[in-house]
Amino acid sequence: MTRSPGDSSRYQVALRPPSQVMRLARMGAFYASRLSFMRVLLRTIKREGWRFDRRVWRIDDSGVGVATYCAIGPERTYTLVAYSHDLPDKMRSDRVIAEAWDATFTLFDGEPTEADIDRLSRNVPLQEAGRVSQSELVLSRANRSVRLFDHVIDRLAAGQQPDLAQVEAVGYLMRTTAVYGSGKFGAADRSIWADRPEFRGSFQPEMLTVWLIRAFTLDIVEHLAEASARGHGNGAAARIDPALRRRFGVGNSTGLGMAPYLVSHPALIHTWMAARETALARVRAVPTAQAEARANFADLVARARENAHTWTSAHALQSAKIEGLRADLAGLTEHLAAGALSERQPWEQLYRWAEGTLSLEGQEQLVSLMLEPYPELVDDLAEGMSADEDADFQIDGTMRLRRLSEILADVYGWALATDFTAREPRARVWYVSEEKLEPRLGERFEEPIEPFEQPLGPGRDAALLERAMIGWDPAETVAAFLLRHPEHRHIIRRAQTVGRNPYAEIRDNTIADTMLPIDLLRCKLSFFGATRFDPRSDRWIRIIMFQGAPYPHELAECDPDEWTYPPARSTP
Amino acid sequence: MSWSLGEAQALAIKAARGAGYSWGLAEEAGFSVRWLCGRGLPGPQALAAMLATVDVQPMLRPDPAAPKWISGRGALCPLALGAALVDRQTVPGESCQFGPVQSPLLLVPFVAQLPFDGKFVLKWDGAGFAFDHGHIAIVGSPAALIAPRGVCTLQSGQLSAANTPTATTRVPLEAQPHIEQLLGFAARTYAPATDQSRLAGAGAGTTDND
Repeated sequence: MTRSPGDSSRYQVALRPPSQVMRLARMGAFYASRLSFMRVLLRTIKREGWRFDRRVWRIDDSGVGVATYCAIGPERTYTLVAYSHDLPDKMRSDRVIAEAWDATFTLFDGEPTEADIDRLSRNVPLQEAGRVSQSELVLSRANRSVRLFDHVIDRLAAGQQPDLAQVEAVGYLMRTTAVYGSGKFGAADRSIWADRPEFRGSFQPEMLTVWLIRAFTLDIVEHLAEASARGHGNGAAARIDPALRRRFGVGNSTGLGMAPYLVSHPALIHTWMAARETALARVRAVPTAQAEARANFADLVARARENAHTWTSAHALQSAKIEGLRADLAGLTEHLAAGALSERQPWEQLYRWAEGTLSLEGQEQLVSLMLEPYPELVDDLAEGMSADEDADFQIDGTMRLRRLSEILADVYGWALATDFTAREPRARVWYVSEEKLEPRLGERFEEPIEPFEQPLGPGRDAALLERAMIGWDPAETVAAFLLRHPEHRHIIRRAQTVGRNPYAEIRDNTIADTMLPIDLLRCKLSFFGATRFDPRSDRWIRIIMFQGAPYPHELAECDPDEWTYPPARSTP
Repeated sequence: MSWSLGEAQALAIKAARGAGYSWGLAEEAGFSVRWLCGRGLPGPQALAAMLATVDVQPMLRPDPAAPKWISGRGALCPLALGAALVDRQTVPGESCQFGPVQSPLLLVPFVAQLPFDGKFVLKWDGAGFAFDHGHIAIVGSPAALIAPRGVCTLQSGQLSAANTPTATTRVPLEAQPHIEQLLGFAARTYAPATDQSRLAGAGAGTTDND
């Protein structure tokens, strides 16, 4: 994996600098791409020829019971164990503080025995209040969409297809409200499976879990429709048409629990960003685009327009951004029709045009679209999208303060120029509430929460460090400084990590009064491969995962990459 | 109820922070506990005992002006001492003493990071750790390993009749009482929930059941 933007010398086009990429407004405009983890997973499964088997289906007519889905790879089998519950409407909540769900899941490492299923039945439904073991990789849960779930059952039970407009308006039957991996609640540590070839990259067990959950949501709704039809003496219920099935993804509600992740995992985030930026630089360096490539790209843009056309959000900020995107894509379509890609270095020309013409939403949508036609330039970069964070842990105490100052000036220049004695730049406090240990964001000057502050304001901390270094000999070592100032140990470790990994740090103030947590959420979720970002406030967001994707039983016959954008309609 | 190493590490960080450590040193507590747990050593017990002592009497940090790091006044903090040793990236010499060090077991993972050229040994009363190019061997009773404090000697050489610890990927069930103690320290990092934080802090307010 490339560790530095300087690596771009192999290519004709430099990587975009971190000062341009690592800004919250731009990160909050990122889109799924070929490098997104859902795409990576489906390519791996397709390449390795995995098989799938719904081994257990013991679910009664009220929808209560257990099901298992085995995903059988060349070397190992993984099994989604799904517990389906009867949840009263009033208990259904997407908030992390909920205590019951419509369905709960774990991804089992192997094929579970009946004893495993029994053990898990006493823990998985409890989620955070239960314990799983090293045999489990992921713990998750989901709630039914009140808007769509019963509609689909009723239509199918009456022998009809669900209403397409309603399916499109929601996009999923169930929403996951948490997908926990990597050692959480007793599950296997990442180190247990990180070396397995099928899980190279990031979040692959989590993505596999969600993809199998999607299959479960379709199975359970058809099962309940069948039961309903039987109960009403209607004969057999309808099955959902294959084309319509594809329009169901898995919803997800994500709140502040995920927001600190991008700040807390700097070395990992560098690998994600560097992969995406390297891919962009490679495509921008392509010398010419053939007629076929131009036509394919125009088709892709038409599909992205269709996607933008059907993407809605009730949130004022996001709906304005969607409006801007639609205008941008219309402008892009005209620009292409005027022969934009016929010059030499067509993608470089197009990208430069976009930077001068389009909104951030439009620019970042274009970046993701430009990667689509070039799997041979892009897809290998996915393998580098993970980091051994332990390797970055040890502080280099032999570093001179002169070098540390250079890093601070380079990475945190904006922070060193900020007056942190004012209230606005430090108005917010990230803290963890004792209720369900949920990360929250509070107001420093309105709530008594400062003593509980999490280390999620690196800009402010860098500014404090710089002030503490005044009067120190630049030739002195970090080790000597830390003996006097252990309170700066955290930010020094971080600054050194960022010094080695330039995309590791956000160049914005994560504790400012104007900061929008949804920008952090969207950035991370775009790397997952999520679509239809729909903020519900400035600090939680709904998305859809795997909408349009093939199902496990279809993948062998499908292109694993041909689903991110919906088919274009004939009249744009 | 077995714990993953990642959970133990995260808990150790929160517990140390809850006991008043800066975030950077709290991360060192996480490193130390995970390293020990991964070798079947009682990291949670050592940290819980150390934090209980910190609660009553602050540990001493290594004194920048006194490079020998021998204290006549109280016990040295193993996290601050260990971090300072690793930061310097030098071997303190053929033979040197530190201490007394509180919960010296917590110091071991740091010493293991030092760039020794050859075999060396860390010892305190009744316990010893031999390091040989990444290979580790142990001498000492369980009680000596979790000694509340000890004067540590670091010198080149090796130990006879030492046992190689068994690598493990889980925190054993016996650690549960100490995990509970650490959970108590960690709880100090959590802000009490209020209606304001429940609503505004998490950003709810629109319906989430549709």
